[in-house]
Amino acid sequence: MLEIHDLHASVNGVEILKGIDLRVDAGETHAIMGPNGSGKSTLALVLAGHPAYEVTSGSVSFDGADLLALGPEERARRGLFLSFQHPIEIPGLRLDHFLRAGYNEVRKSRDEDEMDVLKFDRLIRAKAKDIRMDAALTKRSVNEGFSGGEKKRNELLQMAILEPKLRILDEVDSGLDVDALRSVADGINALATPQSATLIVTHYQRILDYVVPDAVHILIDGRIVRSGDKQLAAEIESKGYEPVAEAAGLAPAGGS
Amino acid sequence: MSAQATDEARYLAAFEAAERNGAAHDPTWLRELRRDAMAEFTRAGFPTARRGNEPWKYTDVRSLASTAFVAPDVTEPLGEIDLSPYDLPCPRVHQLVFVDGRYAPQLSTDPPSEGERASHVFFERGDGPIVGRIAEAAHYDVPLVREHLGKHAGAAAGAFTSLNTAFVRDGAFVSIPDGVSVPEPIYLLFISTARPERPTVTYPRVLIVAGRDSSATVLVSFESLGDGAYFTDAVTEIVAGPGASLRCITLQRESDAAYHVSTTNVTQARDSSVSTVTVDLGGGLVRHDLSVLLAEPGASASLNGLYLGRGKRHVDNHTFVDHAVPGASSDEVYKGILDDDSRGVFVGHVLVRPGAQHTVAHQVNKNLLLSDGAEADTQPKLEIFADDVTCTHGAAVGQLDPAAMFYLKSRGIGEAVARALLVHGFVREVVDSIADDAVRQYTDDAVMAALRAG
Amino acid sequence: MTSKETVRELETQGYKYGWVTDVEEESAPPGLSEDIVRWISAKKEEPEWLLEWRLRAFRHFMKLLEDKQNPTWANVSHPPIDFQAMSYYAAPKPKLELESLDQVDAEILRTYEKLGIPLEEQKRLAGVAVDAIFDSVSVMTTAKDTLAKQGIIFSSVSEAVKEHPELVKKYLGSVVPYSDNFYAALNSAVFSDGSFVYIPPGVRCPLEISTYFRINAEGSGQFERTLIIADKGSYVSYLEGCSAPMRDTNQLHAAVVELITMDDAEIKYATIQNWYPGDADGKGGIYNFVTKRGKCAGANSKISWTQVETGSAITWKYPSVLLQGDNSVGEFYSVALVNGRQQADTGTKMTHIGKNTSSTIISKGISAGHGNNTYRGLVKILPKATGARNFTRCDSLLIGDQCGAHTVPYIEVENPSSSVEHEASTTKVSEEQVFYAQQRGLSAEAAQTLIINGFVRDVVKRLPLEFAVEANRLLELNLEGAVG
Repeated sequence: MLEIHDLHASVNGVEILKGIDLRVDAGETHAIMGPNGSGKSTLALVLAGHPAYEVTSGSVSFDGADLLALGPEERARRGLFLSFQHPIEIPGLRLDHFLRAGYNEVRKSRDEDEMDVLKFDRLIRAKAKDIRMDAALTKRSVNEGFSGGEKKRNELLQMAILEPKLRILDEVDSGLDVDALRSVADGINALATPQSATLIVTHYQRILDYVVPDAVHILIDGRIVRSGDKQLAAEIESKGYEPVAEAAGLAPAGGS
Repeated sequence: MSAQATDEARYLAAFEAAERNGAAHDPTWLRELRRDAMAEFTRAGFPTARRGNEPWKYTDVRSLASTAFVAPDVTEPLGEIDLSPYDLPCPRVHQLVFVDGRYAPQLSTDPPSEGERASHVFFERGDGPIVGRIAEAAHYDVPLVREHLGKHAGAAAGAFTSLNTAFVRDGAFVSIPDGVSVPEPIYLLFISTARPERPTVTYPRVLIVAGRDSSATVLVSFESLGDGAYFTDAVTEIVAGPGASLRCITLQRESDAAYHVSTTNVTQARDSSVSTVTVDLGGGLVRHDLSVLLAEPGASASLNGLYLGRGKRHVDNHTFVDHAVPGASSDEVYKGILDDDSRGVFVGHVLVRPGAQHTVAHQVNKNLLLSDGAEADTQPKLEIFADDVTCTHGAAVGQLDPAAMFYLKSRGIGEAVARALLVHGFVREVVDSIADDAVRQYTDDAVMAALRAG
Repeated sequence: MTSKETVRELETQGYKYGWVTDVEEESAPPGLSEDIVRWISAKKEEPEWLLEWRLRAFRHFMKLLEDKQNPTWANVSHPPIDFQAMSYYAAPKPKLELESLDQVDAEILRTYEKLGIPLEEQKRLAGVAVDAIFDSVSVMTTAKDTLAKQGIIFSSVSEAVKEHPELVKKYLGSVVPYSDNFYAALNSAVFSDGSFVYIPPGVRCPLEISTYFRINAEGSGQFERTLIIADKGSYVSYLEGCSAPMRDTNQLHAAVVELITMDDAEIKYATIQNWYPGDADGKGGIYNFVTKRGKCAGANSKISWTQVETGSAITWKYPSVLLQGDNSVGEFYSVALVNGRQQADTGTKMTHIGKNTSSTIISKGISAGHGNNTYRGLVKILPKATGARNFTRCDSLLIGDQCGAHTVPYIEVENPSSSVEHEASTTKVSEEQVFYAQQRGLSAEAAQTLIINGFVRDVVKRLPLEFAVEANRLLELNLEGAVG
């Protein structure tokens, strides 16, 4: 589904990704782990097409198409979804209006009919119930005044509605307590299908207790320095990133 | 100089002609009011000076002053007018319609019967709102009209106010008796036929008097049926009695060739609350002067506005909030969206007079500039003479947030729709400040339609 | 502090710089005429082109005066100024070519020492070069030789006209033309002295450059002219201070300051303005009507104004920046305090011309007694200023209920890729804040001082340390008696 080859990317002229290779197939869940500043979020944003990041070399194919040639909305319409680490607040724009606009644009791109307000309202309520989110939130402005947990759940709601093929979850557990984490993870698992793939970007191992990965990749200083199975995540949890970094001949980037 | 003299002389001639024709029935006080106003207008002249003319620094009215507008021909019969595009989405409204400045009884809902209207009894009811004509109220010499007409928009309010007062003959008189709460919206609709043959001028006049502890929503709407050039010189006076709660929404959708100059003066008594929302979606050259006098403690005012600049439209909002006494509050949010070669001007002046302690005054003006040719000028102005106050103001000019654009795009939304959504989100705060469901819905639809039209 | 507000007026003793230096002075006779302009120019042995320029300015001023074009838009009031009643030149006698300190009148030296600016070599402040201006003339410029070694020119304008006429001719009036405004025209006609600074390419000026202005003579106006040019890649930090004797007549101070930065150059310009503010009833004091403007002519250049305005009966002053070079930066940091009957109408103009230019405006106004304080500013983004940014923050603090605080910002944006933000607030020192400090053992007076220091901190911290201390001391002094 997703094939990344020797991907280099920079922001404001500073290279952040220094050659990433990664392949994710349908039905798989991969975790990208790394210390702060290692380039994890950059990878997620580059895949989603954030305009501030410049891809300097390398290639990414998504379902056989050249992903890098597509605008962010086209990537979304083809089924790539990013759950943002810091979802933006948009005062004044009602969440349900926003959701319906996105949903109908995706449908239009597939030559499907737009869904009317009443039907969509029912869809939202059903999906919100599935992920145990208060549907009243959808009458408020996008993310405005939402708690950390509500923002993450809102990302999940959008994922439930758009039913993407590739789900990129950037620090989906940050700011959540144990109960909230568990219910968000339940939502992620419930929405998974054999046709979809998941890329979890995380600093900590704990989300991986709930959403179990098929593969774990350690990203340090813009490169994947080691890959393994879920045992690797446990190893990081007990020993930290330093031994992996040293073995790769690197000091852990960022740190604090 | 001589050209300028001619401009004012034209209006003087029209005034004298009007005084000769049928003004004799009007009460003396009204004729005096008009005469004084004409004298004031002739003295002051149009504010066309381009130097040392601070209130008109950003708005040049020379083309308005030099255009030879004429009074609409009142002898012509009114053609069929389809009002359905202007229907409010609610079962009952108190509706008064004026076409080219002329009262259109067949289009109005209040008063219900001819018999009831044709007596002074109509103006003395105490059980419901009185939505009537200034001409009739003057004819019966209704004390509230005599007391308030021209008293809140005085000579100092400027040449355009004087000009309106000089020609005041008819208009809407709304009175909410003490303790009366009006559930249905009161709808004052001023329609210009805007025929292209010759530019006309009308002087819409509104007087709203809300009694003690009364409550009502008034929508004043300016619509155009054609795309000709004309001049609307409107004046609205609003008097809120103790504890009154009044919501007044102005929706301006004149033709792109129209000049619209309006002056609104609000006077608020103890514990009254008045909310104004000014929405500009049309017009070629638009100027609003909105002044609120918080005359007694406990009064609170909310002033909201939104303006949409398209083509070469010029929209100028001047607001003035006068905190004359302690313990009053005001809150103001104006938002502008400026596209094409339009220009938006906002000058918001808040005055806290000596001794007006415990004043709370907040003001915000935000503008979105959407094209290279657009311009925004903003001047949030505080003048404070009391120390125990909380006053803030803020102004911003910028673009749509690129981070928000990316977020929308990452959900599959294309550029054009993303822009429309974000722009609507930007102004929603203003539309949402309209409490009445029907008026809010109607206004929101109008805003959306105007946004889509681009 | 008690909750009941009382207004106590500024005590005139609060002004510590109000003495008169007993020195024999030579003055021009009162009145303004072409002859006086010629007399001043001759006195300074000026070249013909400069006299011609002065005369053009003079004729322009007289025309403005005749047409009653004196500015009336500022939020200040004063009786009409009689421009024929004052003297346009005063200088200590005898005016010698000063070769060493021995030739400076001992009284004048003592004056500067009392003002905290000793001019004798062994007593001088370390790291500071000083130009001492006494009424209409520069009496002494220190550290010139040290600076000259790096090619830096630091002298009085009069001297620069003689030594570096090409530079003066090129830049004088290039940022503030004589036709700019009423007082700029007057200044251009009769300016007496001021400082001239030129920093050559790539040089970082090792010393703080400083000018101290002292008005001493009675019945005279002071019209200084300052010109600072920072050539490519250079840097200079400049500081001016001023004071005047207490007199019960008003004296006019109408200065013009022009700054120019070339590519990658930076000028920091700081002012501590402490002219005599007049007495509690508003009698006397300086009318401080000043035009200050900088031009970021080069790309990536920067001009930063910092001002602490505590003195003067009336202040009328808008240090501005023309942001012409791409990526250039303009800053304005201001504290303005009014007490007694003082009036201040001050602010800035940031004109964004080049691409990606940015400006920051931080204004802190304090009003006490019967004072009136107005922030007036213009942020203008011209159509070609793609990517321009401005941030403005104006805060006002009121002490007592007889004063006024006003904010009059103008924002004009003609480029859609720019962003402008303006915020303002007006408050008083909260009783909770004072109580909190009192609960920790501070007196109400001390608490208020601390809170005010905090209020102005963002501006004062931009001054060199010893001047920051001085600024805080002045604020405290000028607020004496204002705390209820």
